[in-house]
Amino acid sequence: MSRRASRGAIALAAFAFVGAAISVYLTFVHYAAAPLACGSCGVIDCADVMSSAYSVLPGTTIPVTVPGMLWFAGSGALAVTAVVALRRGIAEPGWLRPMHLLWTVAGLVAVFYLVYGEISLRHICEWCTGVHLLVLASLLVAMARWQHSVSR
Amino acid sequence: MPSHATTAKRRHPAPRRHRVETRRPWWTSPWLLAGTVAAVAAVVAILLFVGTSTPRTSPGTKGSNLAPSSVVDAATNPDVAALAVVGVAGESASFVDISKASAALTRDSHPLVVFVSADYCPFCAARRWGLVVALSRFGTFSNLGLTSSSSTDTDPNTSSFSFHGSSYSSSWISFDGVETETSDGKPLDAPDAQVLGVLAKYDVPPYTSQADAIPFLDLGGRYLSIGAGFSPALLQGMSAEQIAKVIRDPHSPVGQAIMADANAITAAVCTMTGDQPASVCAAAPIPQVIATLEGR
Repeated sequence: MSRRASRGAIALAAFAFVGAAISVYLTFVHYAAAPLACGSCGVIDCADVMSSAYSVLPGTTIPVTVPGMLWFAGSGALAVTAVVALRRGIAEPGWLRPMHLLWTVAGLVAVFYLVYGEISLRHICEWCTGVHLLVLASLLVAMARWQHSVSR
Repeated sequence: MPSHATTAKRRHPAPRRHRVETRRPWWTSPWLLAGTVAAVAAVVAILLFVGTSTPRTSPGTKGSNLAPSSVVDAATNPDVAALAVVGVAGESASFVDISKASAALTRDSHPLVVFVSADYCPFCAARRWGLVVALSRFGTFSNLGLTSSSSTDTDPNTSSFSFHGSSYSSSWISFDGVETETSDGKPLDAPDAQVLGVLAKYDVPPYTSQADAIPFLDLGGRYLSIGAGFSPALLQGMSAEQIAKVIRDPHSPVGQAIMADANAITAAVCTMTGDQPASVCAAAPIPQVIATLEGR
């Protein structure tokens, strides 16, 4: 088992777990109308972002945190598949790394839309920014893993 | 003296190995990761430029601005003590009991509050303040817009929320806020079939002197209130931020008017929900207002 490959897959699984936890929390806050634990100072205003039209899928009342949860669940499933294969000493399926890379690229496109929303609102949400950074980190790790597989 | 072996090596040198230069494909280069980070930073910079060069807007609001969080926070987090102090001391719109003429109005298994208004209408602007305060005690608004009434109507440019593009979630009631026209009279939201049925039945004489009157408020098919809770003249010359600053002040005439209207609406909603939640419906002055509504 390559220790480097294992580290990358574990990192992806960890990013997915943290991202999913944040998404679950924000979804709970949305549906339970619970107070949001975040700052409101200057450019940082979570409540403004989370109550804006960018916080729901366009044309619906479904919060964007729901597809966010699904995205992190998908990323986590791909990462766990890799970790399990590496732990068992068997080769990862050939489609796994390209698929994970494409998944993270799709996630980054969604992040661009949400960042544009924050810029339009003139406010930043810390929780959202954390999720965006997790998606970017997932993309970089998935890309490194894919590069490693095609250069062998 | 050199050994035989060394001599042999010199005479018959090993064939020279030519290194074959194999260029690695660009997509396997470590620079791809750095390039990706740079590309992401460039896209964010472009979004920053485009996003900050346009007015603050939101999808679905068709040009109307979202209400600032400071205004939304002030209206949706009312001061319970101030509401108790104010009671219904200010002006209050009349609430007509239509429960005998109407079946209960529901949506998604909850009593339904229907509010039909238009952005251009100054009386609607006044009514929305109390309505937002009252309904926020039962649920949560999202994406409340900010608008002002027509500049050419009476009480011009009255600042208020707009329900266009907003949503409301509650464990107790459903809410349908319809803004039929913009501040300059252009079509905006279309009432659905259920709301059209309510309007056809109740937005006509004898419930109103003139058909199609706004603001129109139907509280679960139980109470009807057509008109503003107080005069929009009270809000003249005030920005939404200025109204928000006094909305919880029981000593301000504007605060009193909005809170009195909110108390009346809150009491009517409590009759729809079976006095639930108790934290709202049992709090002063709501039981007294309910008793007045029900003629007890």
